[in-house]
Amino acid sequence: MLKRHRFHVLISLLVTLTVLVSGCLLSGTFVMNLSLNEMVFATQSMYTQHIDVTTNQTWQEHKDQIKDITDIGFALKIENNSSVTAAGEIYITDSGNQATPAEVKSSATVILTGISVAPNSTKNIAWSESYQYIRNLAIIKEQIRSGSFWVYALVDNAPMNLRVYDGALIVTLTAVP
Amino acid sequence: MCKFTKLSLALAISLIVSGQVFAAKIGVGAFWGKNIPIVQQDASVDKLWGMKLILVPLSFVAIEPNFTYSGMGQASINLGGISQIRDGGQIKSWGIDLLLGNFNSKFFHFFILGGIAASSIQKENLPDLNSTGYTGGLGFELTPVKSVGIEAMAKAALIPLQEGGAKDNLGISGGINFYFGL
Repeated sequence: MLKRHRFHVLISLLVTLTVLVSGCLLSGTFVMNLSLNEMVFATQSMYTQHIDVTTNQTWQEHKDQIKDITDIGFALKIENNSSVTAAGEIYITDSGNQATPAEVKSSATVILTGISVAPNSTKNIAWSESYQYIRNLAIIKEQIRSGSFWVYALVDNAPMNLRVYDGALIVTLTAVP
Repeated sequence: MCKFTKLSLALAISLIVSGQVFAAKIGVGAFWGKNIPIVQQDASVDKLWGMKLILVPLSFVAIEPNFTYSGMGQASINLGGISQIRDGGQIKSWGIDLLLGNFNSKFFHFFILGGIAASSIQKENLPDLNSTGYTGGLGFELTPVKSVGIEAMAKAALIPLQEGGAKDNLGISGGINFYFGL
């Protein structure tokens, strides 16, 4: 009789603890992609884009519940139709006032670097291989959390016959309902 | 006599008394199955496997120190008509579970469990996340012969993250247990 009572008490405690822990910790991980416009460098050496995170559907659904940005990657294609190797970087900042590559380099933070594309070729950078090019992850997270930021793409030796397309920043975040 | 000594003596006596009606068991087990990430868009269903020690000191209590590997599959997102894939990573956990069930039964044991686990969430290109997680679940074991058990189990693992939230996974596994000294 005593053993049975003890057994029931232990079961009740275990079930209560499981329910409490589940209720406290239940959360989700969500992936959103922030599209980058097509960037054409035929007549310019710098391309600027404002990204408003708050218009993203995933962000809107979870904006009040976001606990952390856990992962950032990107994907894009680069088509180099010129006769020289193309190389460049992407910078991030909270201001859209930078007018020249020199100003961008002095005031913004580089987030992608080391990308080069051979003459007359196309390079696909997939999500899974993008990590080798990413720098300053903490700054990117900070800018995303702010909800709005600017990206600047700089290409060495531009203008040149080069375009960057199908680009996206892929953000993984944790949210608690 | 200090309180701790009194408590230890009481525990030892209760174990001895219990042992007179129920023979304590020791065993080892291996299990494998599927890990199902819950509300995790950066992961998918993947394999799960592990091994454990089994200590059954009382007819209704078992203690199982264990190691569990949980694959996290991959994340997939469609960009411009092209599917982009990212490795979901893996979780390695060293844990201990407390099971409550009818372990004195000859052929069929039903149990519920709860426990804690030191877990490491590992994902390519990201630093490992180490955290103490919680487990809870239920299962049953068939013992066609005295020294062998065939087991099925559903076990939820909740791993709190440093900034808030948690990685929640459900493991569905089957396994085989071997008992010694019977």
